[in-house]
Amino acid sequence: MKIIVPIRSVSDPERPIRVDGIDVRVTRWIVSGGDEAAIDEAVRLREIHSDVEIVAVAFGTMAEELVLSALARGADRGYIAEIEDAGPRGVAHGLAEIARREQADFVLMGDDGETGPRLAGMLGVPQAAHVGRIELLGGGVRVDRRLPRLRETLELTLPAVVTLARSTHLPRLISLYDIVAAREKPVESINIDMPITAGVTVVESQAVPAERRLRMVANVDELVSALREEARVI
Amino acid sequence: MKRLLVILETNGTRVRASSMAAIEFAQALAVPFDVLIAGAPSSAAEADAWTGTGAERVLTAASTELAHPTADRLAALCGRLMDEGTSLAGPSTMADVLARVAGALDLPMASEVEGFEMSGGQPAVRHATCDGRVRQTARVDAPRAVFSIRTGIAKPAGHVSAASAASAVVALDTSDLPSDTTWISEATTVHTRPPLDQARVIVAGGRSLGDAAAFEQYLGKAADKLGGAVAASGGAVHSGIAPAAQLIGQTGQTVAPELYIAVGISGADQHVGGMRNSRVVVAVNRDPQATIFRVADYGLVADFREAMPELAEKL
Repeated sequence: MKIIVPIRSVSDPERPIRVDGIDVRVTRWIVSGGDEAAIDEAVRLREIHSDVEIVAVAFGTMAEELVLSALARGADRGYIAEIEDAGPRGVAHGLAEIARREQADFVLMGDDGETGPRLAGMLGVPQAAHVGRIELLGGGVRVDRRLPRLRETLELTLPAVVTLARSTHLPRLISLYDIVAAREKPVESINIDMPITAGVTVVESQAVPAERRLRMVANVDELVSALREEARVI
Repeated sequence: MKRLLVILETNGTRVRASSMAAIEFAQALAVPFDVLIAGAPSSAAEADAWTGTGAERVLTAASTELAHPTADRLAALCGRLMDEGTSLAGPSTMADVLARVAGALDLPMASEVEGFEMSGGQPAVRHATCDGRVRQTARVDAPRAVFSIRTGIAKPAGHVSAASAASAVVALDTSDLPSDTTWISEATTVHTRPPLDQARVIVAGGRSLGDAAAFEQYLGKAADKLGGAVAASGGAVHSGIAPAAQLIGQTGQTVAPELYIAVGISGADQHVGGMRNSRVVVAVNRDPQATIFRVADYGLVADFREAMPELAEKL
């Protein structure tokens, strides 16, 4: 059973983001917590079913650090994927190529709203997004999806793509031994070619929040009406 | 962009009101569009409610297999209906279906669209990126794309532009849909509040609430009315009146909900850092000098013991 897990970087929420014209400059990148949770989940499955192999694929900024952190966290092998676009479309193309090459059984990742389902559509395989729990069955997986006000249980045949719901996941503790051992594990660099298509061009960027203009309200009625009609948030 | 297919979200039998956002997008774009409703055999009856939206056709895909629609089946239906000129739009709650279609057809996708304007004949959509920290306007240059429309206010189905020609209702062939995904069961969790980082609305309390019972009493009802979550400031957690899992701030969670209501929270830096990316911030505090008002869009100087029950009632 071969599980592929992407390892991506995200902007550090504790550090500012600078908007420079239309460009967005992230001052500090950190490992995606969702993808860390995916590695931890794959390791948990390996503890139950010993014939599981975990292959991590790092993309984008700090890819070398990312793949090492995935190997320290328990992945068996790694890839560093060189790709022009490290956004959802690029990552999906990269994972599709590697999943095909490795004949992977499933791809597991943190939820960013697009990449997982995009990959599943590309490969034409079943998918489940916002998953809380995974259970391996012979030739398939059973998953519990965590939706607003609903828990839905599905069974998917393999190969499949599963994305994990965001949660207050506490990452497993890694030992110094794990970190040292990570350097001995095999890592391969791979160049991903993808077709360039006319896509989406950014014309304006703005840091959030822009200036907040405080409006004091006199009573609850005024507040409710402001939220409904003006802010249009309820 | 020549044509649009709008997929509405159903719970298997009824169309969800959140789908209205996608219809409004189609109406505003002013391109010919069709509407797709998929679900159990009884869901075909939902078509009539949408024939006055200005859509050319309301397409129904109704079968027992679709009583619990899965992403692969819905995406397959969309794929069958989209020729080279057709784009796809749907509510952002269906992002997993929309993104699957984007992958199958290798189309660009604009996620969580909040609004748009026309730029050089193409739509330029506004959406939040970077975990909600940046708002961007991005022009869609491709001849077709997939759009997920941020669902916000649920408008009643009657609230549509009047005087449109009624749409034709067409029943689709639902045979030969993918069958690699099997629905097993589902359970509603009406009383569970969403996790903080998924909640669209968060009602947070400070130390001045006094005790855990007050937290539930004054914040819980408003949160439930809005389908939101309850959170706490550092002061509340450290004085033991709220659990650490609810902490928002420097050592707790960072959130970016649509609506953040800070009740009896002074507004110290450690807390503000965790919620400053919220789209709309409301502060309710007895002290008109409280720092929290500096990071709020709306402020109400009031005692939470009176204001919060009233708010819960009027929501």
